[in-house]
Amino acid sequence: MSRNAKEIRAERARTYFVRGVAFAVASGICYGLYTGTLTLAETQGVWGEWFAGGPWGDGQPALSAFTITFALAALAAALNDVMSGIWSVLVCAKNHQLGDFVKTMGTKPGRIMMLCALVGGPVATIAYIVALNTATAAGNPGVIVPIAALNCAIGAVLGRIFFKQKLNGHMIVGIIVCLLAGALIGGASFASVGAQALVACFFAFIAAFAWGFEGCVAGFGTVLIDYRIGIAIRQVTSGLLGLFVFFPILAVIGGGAGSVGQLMATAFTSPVIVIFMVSGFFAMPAFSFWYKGNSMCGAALGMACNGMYAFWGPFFIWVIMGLLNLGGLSASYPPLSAIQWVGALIMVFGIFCIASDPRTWFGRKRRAVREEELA
Amino acid sequence: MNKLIPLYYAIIKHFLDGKEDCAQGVIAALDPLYHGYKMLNLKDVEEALATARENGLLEETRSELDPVDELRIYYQVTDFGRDMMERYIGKYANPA
Repeated sequence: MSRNAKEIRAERARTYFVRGVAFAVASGICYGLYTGTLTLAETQGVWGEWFAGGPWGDGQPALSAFTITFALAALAAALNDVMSGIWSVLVCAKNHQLGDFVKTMGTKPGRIMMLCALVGGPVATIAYIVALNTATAAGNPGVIVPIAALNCAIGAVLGRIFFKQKLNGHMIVGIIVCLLAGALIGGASFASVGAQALVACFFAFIAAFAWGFEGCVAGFGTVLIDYRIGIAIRQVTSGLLGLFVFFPILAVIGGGAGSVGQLMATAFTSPVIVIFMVSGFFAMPAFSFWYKGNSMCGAALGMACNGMYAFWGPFFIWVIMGLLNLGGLSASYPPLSAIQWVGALIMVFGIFCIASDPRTWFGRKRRAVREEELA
Repeated sequence: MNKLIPLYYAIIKHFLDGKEDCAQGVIAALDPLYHGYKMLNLKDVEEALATARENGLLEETRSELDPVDELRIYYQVTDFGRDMMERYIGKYANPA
């Protein structure tokens, strides 16, 4: 009987493992879809007019450069997070978890999650979108995604500094591979597109730093929360802070107090809001599948599969904006040059190295490790 | 809204007494208080325990087949899990 249970347990572990990898890979794909749809949203309707830098609506004067660069990025980030917050809360409602959602916010882990959402939400997402927009303006939007994916490497380094977490040989190799790939992508864009792409990479790096910080603190403070509730708390906090604190401050600096209500009302009544609903919809599984995948195939491999978004991000920007021609751009629309695609793939490999020991991926050792776990 | 602590806290704190238990045991223990909670079902509690294991709060001790041939996976709290729970959610408890 006991031998039989062991076999069934091993079989369960195998199916869980395969399903977990599938969920983690799907999370990376959703991340790519979210980035691609968000980029699309910002080219449509009134958003396209705003970013073009000319008069908009029925003859409103052009927005200032500061507003275009920072306030619109904050507004786009906030809309995306509010939408994904609404989707996440709906998931909680479906699971009858709304009571626990409210209660968890009143406890210590809930408050840590909200603090992380402040750093990883508005700060990182605004920097990410400033980077995305600057890169789009430079004609090379895909370039910043792999740079932002450096958050994995930065998180590992910050974990070492703050929490004295140990860095194994394969993690150090992975961090170096990631940095080299980042330098390759950034360097290539500087050569082909010019200084503007480098500015974009700089903001992407700030986003990577903030996400790395969030990942390393959140990893410590939030293992005690149901992941669906954790995601809802994060997205709602981040969306509301962005919409009612960060965006108004940046809009006032860029165009005076009057522009706050005007821009917000225009954004909410423009049909483009539907595209933000879609990008927010993809942003939710980008996080929740990651957690679900981790619980099934192991956190290290889950993180590695999720990290493939360094590739999926530019890929879906290319598919949505170029191939499907939704953004009014040609099929040859190149988010990345050949060398940058190579860099993105190298970065995915580096993230794999940080997250898991390459020696355990194949052959006897992995089986031995799994069997050891089950023994 | 009732006065109970969030279900996930109750699930992981169930292991604070140091004894090993499985998803079925957790459900049996929490059902009187959390009766009717949609997430208190075998599939979701198994996932919750697997997640807690991946996060290092719990460790797997053994598995066996119960009389109806259902697999039962047993878990126990780790030192890290005990420390985390005492530090962050130790003061939250259900009304006696």
